Amino acid sequence: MTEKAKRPSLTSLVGQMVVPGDNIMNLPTDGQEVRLGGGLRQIGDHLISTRAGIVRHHQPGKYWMEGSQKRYVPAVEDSVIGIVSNRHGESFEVDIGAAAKATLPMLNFEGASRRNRPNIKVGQLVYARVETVHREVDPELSCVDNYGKSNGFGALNGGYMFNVTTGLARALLTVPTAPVLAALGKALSYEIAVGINGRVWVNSTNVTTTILVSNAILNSEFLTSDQAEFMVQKLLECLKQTADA
Amino acid sequence: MSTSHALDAEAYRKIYPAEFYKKFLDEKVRPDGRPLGRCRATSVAAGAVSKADGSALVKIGNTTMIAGVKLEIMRPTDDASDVGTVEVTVEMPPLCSASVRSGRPTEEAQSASQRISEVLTHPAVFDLTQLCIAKGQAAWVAYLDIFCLDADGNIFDAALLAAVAALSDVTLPAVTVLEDGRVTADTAAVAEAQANAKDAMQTGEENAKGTQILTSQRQLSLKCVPIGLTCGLNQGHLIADPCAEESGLLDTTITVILNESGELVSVYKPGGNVGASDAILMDCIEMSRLRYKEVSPLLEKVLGKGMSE
Amino acid sequence: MESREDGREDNQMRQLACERNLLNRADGSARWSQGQSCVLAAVYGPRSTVGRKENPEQANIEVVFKPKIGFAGVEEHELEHVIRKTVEGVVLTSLHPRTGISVILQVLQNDGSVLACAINATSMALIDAGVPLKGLVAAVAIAVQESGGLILDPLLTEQKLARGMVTVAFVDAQPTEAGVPTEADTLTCTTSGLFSADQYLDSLNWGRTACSRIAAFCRVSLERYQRGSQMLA
Repeated sequence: MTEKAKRPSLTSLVGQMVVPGDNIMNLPTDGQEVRLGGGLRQIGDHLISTRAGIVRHHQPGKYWMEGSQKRYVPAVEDSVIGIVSNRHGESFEVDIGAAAKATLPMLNFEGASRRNRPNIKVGQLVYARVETVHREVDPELSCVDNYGKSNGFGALNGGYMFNVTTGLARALLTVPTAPVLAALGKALSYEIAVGINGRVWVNSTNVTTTILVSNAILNSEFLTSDQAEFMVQKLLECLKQTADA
Repeated sequence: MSTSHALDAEAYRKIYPAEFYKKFLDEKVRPDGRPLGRCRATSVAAGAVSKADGSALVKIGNTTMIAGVKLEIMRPTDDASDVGTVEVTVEMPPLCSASVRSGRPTEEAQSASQRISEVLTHPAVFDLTQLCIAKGQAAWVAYLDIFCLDADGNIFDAALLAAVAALSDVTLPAVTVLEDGRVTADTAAVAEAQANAKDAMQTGEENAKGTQILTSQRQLSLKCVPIGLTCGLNQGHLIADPCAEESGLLDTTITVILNESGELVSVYKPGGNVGASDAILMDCIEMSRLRYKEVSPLLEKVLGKGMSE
Repeated sequence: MESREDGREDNQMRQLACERNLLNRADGSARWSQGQSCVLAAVYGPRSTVGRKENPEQANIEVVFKPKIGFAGVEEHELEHVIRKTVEGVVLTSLHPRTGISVILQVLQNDGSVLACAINATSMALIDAGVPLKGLVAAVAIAVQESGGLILDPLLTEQKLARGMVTVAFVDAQPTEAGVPTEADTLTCTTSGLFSADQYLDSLNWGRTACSRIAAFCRVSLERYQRGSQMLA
């Protein structure tokens, strides 16, 4: 065992790799507000990790655990892609890949009212925002933002949806644009929606573009930006070759 | 006024069991009046089931277990040709507790079966060669069934005690082999064989009839006697012999089984919400030693002839 | 001092190896080897459960243990009981009420210390699935020999010749809260065979030291794997 393998000392572990049970840091006693994201819990004056990953910090006072899982745990304000699985009275039941199915009230669409219902059928894909999450209750979704505008949320028609890990989904949603998406965007035109619940929806005018974009995204999980660009170039060359042949 | 107080206490017990219990623990007693380290009244009665080859009835408080042994003759396998087997099954039929349903055996019952089986078939505890009749040909299999008649917590200690008592109560019948080669313990055949042997001895001739005694009647005995104590941990307090109500409030349980020399036969702590420090484990072992001194006279009184050092 | 069959010291562990995320469908998976003993663990959950098993306060943990050959019998059900209680001790079940977390274990090779191997594999699989935990669990087996000496991480042959065996599991978490399993406290302990109380205490100490080494190994392993997906950031 190398020296590096010993437990890190009790200074702040923000920005470092931790395992469950590590004491990340002592909470500030000067009344500063600290907001905890997923993967962290408070015991007395200490911040303890509950998962393995890297602790991230955003000013002012937001801490969360970054890690990649296959199963999604809903959190408020997440943008997710769901599959409508049922319709109960005034709301839809939507599968978002979490432990419980989410509900999407029919009125949570832009311009929806009792007489003007949204045209959503069972089996439809929707891009929605997680509005409320509570331990004891099923999560609730909404297809409008706080101002009542749809802002990109709503039904997703056509296209192709596939699963990725939550880590890759988060990477695809970074600003500036993820390297693989930037490389693809230079050469092809397509529509894409990324759900932080590990689902990606791609749509374009022809099938080969859709397939190429999906494969490129799936390949890019463990590549650096240079490697990602190189990989995309290779795929585009293959496309050109088959088009010429 | 006093009736409403009584009702309040009962209601409090049902609605806030953890807080109710904590009030007692802080005073170092339990709701039934016992100090933390005391076990409930224990009794052992052997020979409770007349038709069984060996049996025992054990009560620890309200928890009641009845164990019976049924012997059968079988052909031993080639790789274990000089030993018999003991098949232990602990059953918790629906009558023992409101929380048990009929159907598949509960995890608790299966766990108890496996642990008791491991203890009773260990060569240092029970010599399985006692069950051999004729090497490679015939051996006894002892089906040790332990039934719970009333589950009021801590079924393992009671089950183990019943198993040990029942097994020590077993008298292996004499075995004879018939003319056609069949091995049997049938009393008529045995009596005939004994008569033939006697004749042969008197006349000095070889036993012409062909039936012969393979093994004579003998008592089963254990090499050492394992007795166990289960303790629970609640808020750092160590509680001996928890009853059913207490069992639901425990953070974890620790079972220690000792033999008469004070050797550890088993220390069992399956996970739980808290860990146990070395100090707590040593306390459990010490409490088990005291428990051993309490229980072993009960066993000796009942089965004096069956226990060997 | 007699050397062991494979040339190890008495308090030396076999080579550890861990591979995670090797099953496609499972939310988390890990394959853990200690020398020639190897166990594969798969974790599903937290996911929705059937009505009867639904607990309104906590997640319901279920363990299935499959031996290398044959069907699961009473012996395997007892191991399931021990592993389930161990998992309940480290998983923050109250964060996911009304859900179920399933752990499925398959023994791939048995060369001794299988229960310890299984608990280690379970711990890594739970971490791989992102199930919230109080800390890392590490487990190890110690055999008490006829001569009275102890050996760490016994082989199957050593296990069969031993006077007794102790399997212990500890949680690698810093002591910050009363009641949370800490390094000093034994989370799980099962023994077989006969030995003295002193030998038992010595085994616990050996186990504690060995488990902190195993936890350090797990830490390195997790760090290495995480680095890969970090490259995107």
